[in-house]
This record gives sequence, C-alpha cells and structure tokens, in this order.
Amino acid sequence: MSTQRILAIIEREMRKFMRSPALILISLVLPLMQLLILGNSFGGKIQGARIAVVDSDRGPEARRVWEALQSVEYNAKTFQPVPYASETEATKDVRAGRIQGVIIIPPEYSRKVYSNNRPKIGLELDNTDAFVSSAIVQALSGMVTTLNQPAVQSRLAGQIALQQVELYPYVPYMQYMLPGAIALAMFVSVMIGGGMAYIDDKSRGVHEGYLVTPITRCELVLAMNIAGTLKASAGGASLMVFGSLLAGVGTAFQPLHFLSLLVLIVCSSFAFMTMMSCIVSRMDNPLLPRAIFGVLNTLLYFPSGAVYPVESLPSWLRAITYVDPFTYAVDGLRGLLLRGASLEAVFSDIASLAAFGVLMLTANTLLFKRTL
Amino acid sequence: MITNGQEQSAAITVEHASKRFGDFTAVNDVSFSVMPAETFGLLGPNGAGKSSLIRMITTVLPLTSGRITVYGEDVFLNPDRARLSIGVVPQALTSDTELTVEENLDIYAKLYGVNRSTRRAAISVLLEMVGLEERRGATVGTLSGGLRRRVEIARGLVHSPKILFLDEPTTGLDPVSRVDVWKMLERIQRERHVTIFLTTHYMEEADKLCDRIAIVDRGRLITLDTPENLKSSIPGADGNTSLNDVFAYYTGRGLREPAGPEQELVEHKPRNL
Repeated sequence: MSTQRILAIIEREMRKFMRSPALILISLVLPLMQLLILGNSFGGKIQGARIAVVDSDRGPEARRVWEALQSVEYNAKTFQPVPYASETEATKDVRAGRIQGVIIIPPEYSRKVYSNNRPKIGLELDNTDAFVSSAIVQALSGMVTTLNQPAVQSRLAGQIALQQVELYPYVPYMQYMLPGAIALAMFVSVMIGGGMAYIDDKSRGVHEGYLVTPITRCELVLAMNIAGTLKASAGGASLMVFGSLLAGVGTAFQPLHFLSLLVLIVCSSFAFMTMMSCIVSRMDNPLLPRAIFGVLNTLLYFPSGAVYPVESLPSWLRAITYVDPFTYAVDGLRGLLLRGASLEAVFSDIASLAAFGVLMLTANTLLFKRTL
Repeated sequence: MITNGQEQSAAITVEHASKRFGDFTAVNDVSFSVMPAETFGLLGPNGAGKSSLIRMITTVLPLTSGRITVYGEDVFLNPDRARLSIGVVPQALTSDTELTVEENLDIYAKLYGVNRSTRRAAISVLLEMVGLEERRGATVGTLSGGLRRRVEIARGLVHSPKILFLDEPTTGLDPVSRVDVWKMLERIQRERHVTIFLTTHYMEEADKLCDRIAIVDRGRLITLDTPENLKSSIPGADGNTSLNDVFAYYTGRGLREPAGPEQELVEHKPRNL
C-alpha cells in the first residue's frame, strides 16, 4: 500500500474542500436551522391557551376555583380563563378552535364541597393537539391537588412525599437537540462532500483518471473515506462550537472535553462516511444521492434519539436504532456535552461507531469496482 | 496475426480483442500493433468502438476476449506495470478547476509514484513544454478551454510515460488552439520519443499528425495504413483525394454521422419487432 498515493487523493479532496467555502457553509445551514427553529419551538412550555369557565354555582368554593385558575394564569401562564355563560356556547367555540377547553363548575358545587359529597369540576378538551391538552390537564391536576388540601395542614405530614434531586441544571430543548444537530452536520457533510462529490467525480470522468494510474482499489477506497471523514469532522466540530454558543452549553469549551468530543466526532464521521461510500459505491446517476438524502435523514436521524427519546419508540422502530450510527453518535455527544461525562463513559458508543465504520469500509472495498 | 517478435518490439499489440455489453458488441475481434515512437490515429464514426478500445488498452475496461499488451505487459494480467507505461488525456476536461495548474499535476505525479526530488523539476519542464509556466499558480477554472487542454496533456505526461493516449484532444477548441495543440504534440513526440495514440474527428488533424491510421466501424477494424497509402487505396484516387474521401469510402458515411441504418435497426430490434 502506497502512503504517497493515499495522501495525494486526500490532498486533492481537502484542497477542493477548503476552496469551496460555500459548500462548508451549506453543510452547516440545515443543522443550525434545525437547532434554532426546532430547538426554540419544541420543548417550550405551553403558554396562553384560552380556557372557557362556565360557573353555574357562583358560590364561595367556585370563587376558590376562580382564584386558583387566575393563579395559574399569572404564574405558570399555561392558560387564560375566560368566563362563559353557557356550556353549549363554550363547546361550540372549542369545536370552532377559538378556545382550547371548557371548565364547568356545576350547580351545587360549593354545597357538595362542604358536605363532602363527591364534588366534581368538569373539563372538556380539544384533544386534537396532544401537547396543549396534556399541558392543560397537568396544570389543572396540580390546581385540583391544591384545592383538595385542607386550609390548615397538620404539622407532621403523614403522606409519602417524593424528594427529587436533579443532578444537572435545567436542560432546555435547544440544548437537548444540540447533539443531534452536530450529528446532522456530519451527515450533511458526508452527503455533500462524500456521496454527491463522489458521483460528481465519477460522472465527470475524474475516477477514470484515477483508474489509469497504478492506485489500488484499497488505496482509493481508504483515501476517499479518510478525506470524507476529515471533511465531516470539520463540519461536526464547527457546529459543536457554533451550536454550543447558541444553545449556551459550556462543556465544549473545556480543553479535556473538547478533545473527547473531537475523538467522538471523528469516529462518528468515519461511521457516516463509510456508510455513505457503501451506499453510493455502485451508483452512477448524480441525482440518486440527492434523492436518497431525505429517506436516509428520516430513517436514521429521527429515530436516533436526536429529537425524541429512543425509549418512546415502538419495538420495530427501536430495532433500527441498534444499527443506526446516529444513535451512538447522539448518545455519546449527549453524554459528553450535557452530562459532562468522561471519554470512558462513552467508550461503548465510540467502539460501536468504530466497529460499524470498519465493517462498512470492508464492504465498500468489496463493492468498489476497479474497472469501468 | 501478430508474431512474438512483433509483440516484443511493439509498443502496443491488440490481438483479437472483443468487448460485448450484453447483446451489443462494441469491439469485434480487432487486431493491430503500434510501433514505438509512432503516432497512431484511430478514426471512426460516433459509436464505432474507439473509446471502448482505448479504455481496454488503458486497463480500465476488461476485455471480453482477446489479448492486449503494452510494451510486452499484458493489460489484464499485469495492469499496474502496463499503467506505468501509459499516460491518458481523456476527452472530457477532468482537471480540478479549484486547484492550480501545478497542484493538478503534482497530485497525479504522486499517484504515479514520481519521487519528491524529481517531481517539481519534472513539472517545471512539462509546464514549459506546454507553454503554461507563467500560469502554474493559476487555478484551472480561470483558464480558457485551450489552456485547460494543455493542462490535461501535461498531466498525462507527468510520469514520463512511453505511450500517450489522447481521446479527441482538440474537440471543442477553436482553430488557433487546435493548431497550438498539434504543434505541442509534435514537440512532445520529437523531444520525448513518445508513442502517441489518438482518436480524432478531424481528418486534417489525423493527416497532419499520424504516421498510420486505423479506421474502425461498428466495432470492427476496417483498414489500417499510412495516410498516403489509404488515400491511394480508394478507386479513382488522385492528388485531390483526402482522408474524408477515404473515410466515406470505407464507412459509407461522413465522420460525424451516427451509425448507419443497419446498426440502428439492430439496436432497436426488440422495439421494432
């Protein structure tokens, strides 16, 4: 195996890469946009939903309910209670999408509270939006718990309480998405600088130019994969820096963590690049890599835990995550970035990515044709 | 039939070479040899099998049957040794437009294993030869088509091959650039004693540059001789007979015309039937 020939191909790829700043920027645009837009739209608290309140009691306990509702309005701001005269009118407005739910305080409510005769507050919800309706239910459940507490509490509490200790500061959704965005930056770099560039070179006849030289199949495959890995690593590292600044994650700027993150980024890039090389090794049509980008993105990125926990997936979808390099990249990056874990703690992710990469590189070498 | 003695002394020997793609025969039992330092022209209409033949000789397309040697090395059995003897200037401009002229040459010199100590000097000599020494630091994307073709030629020579293959080297060039390329090829041949194997669509080019010309059509070798002998070989030849007349006589059509009705009928047979 000739190092000089391998380095020549890498040199060519890297020189082209460094002289195409537009391509570098484009590979960062999609993940940065996802981080900014999805990070700020998902995972935020639901605020300002409009809830109709139909008070058919108007007694003292109904007044307590009103006060509790206003307390939610002024503090958590989950919803804004709007008085309605009739349940029919309120339900009609729910169906018309003008309000998100109806709270019904029935007649004789206060009397039932005082006589301990199973008092009830009714709730009608627009459950077509699960996020809003579950937020309203959660806020109202807390409110009802408060209403159920006696006015004067016993000094020695007899009920079991859960004492919660959070090991890490609050993680906003944007920070939760950062590992996925970094992995996506590597993947987009691999798509552009690996898959599309490979097919483009092939259709322009550049590969034929290589094939008339004494370069071997192994040298060519290895060189192209190393070059692609370097390009994707540059994309991943850039997004790690910009994304950490945007999302307010400081771990990436600690020298030891920075190095650990680089190791993980290189391993992830290697896994992505070799996978992409395998996929495109027999392709000739320059449109195909563009067409499969959306498919691969949906198939590999979304189930990886990048935007939603893997634990929520059905078993058939979870099976994909076991062979999906995104899963290990996202898991490792989340450990290093958000939990401040050491390199040892994410060793299994690194080993899985490296093993996947070696397997794909072998398959790529076998699939690559040395002749036309 | 090519004898052992011819194979030993020839730069290229092609023996009963055939190439089939499914039912389509691109090259059909072709045999010829090219002598060292000879300029050999391969002519034929579009789709005649010229590119397939060049690709087989340059080791990138496997033969279906037959044998090809380059300076005695079988291109199928010892492709790497054969590759060291050949330089290829493809029809398409494949130099990287983002890289400089020198970088393009340097990368290919490394691929051919040219030593670091001799690389820079070899590139300088080549750039002087193709008239690009002033533009060595220019990115290829800033060069005209004619200058880019010179880069391709220099790149094909960067490892000092014994044979240079040129696939339609002047296609797309204006007449002035075309004449420049001719002069350059004559200089290369004169100074380096390189065997030149070229395909072209321009009869004038073939007439001016080639010592011998082979005409292929529908995958078969129709005729092979010197330009003068070819011109005198056709009925009614006189002093005004040109290679265009020779080509029309042997193929039954002009050079740029596509394959004739017979071949079209064969290719479209399933649909027509």
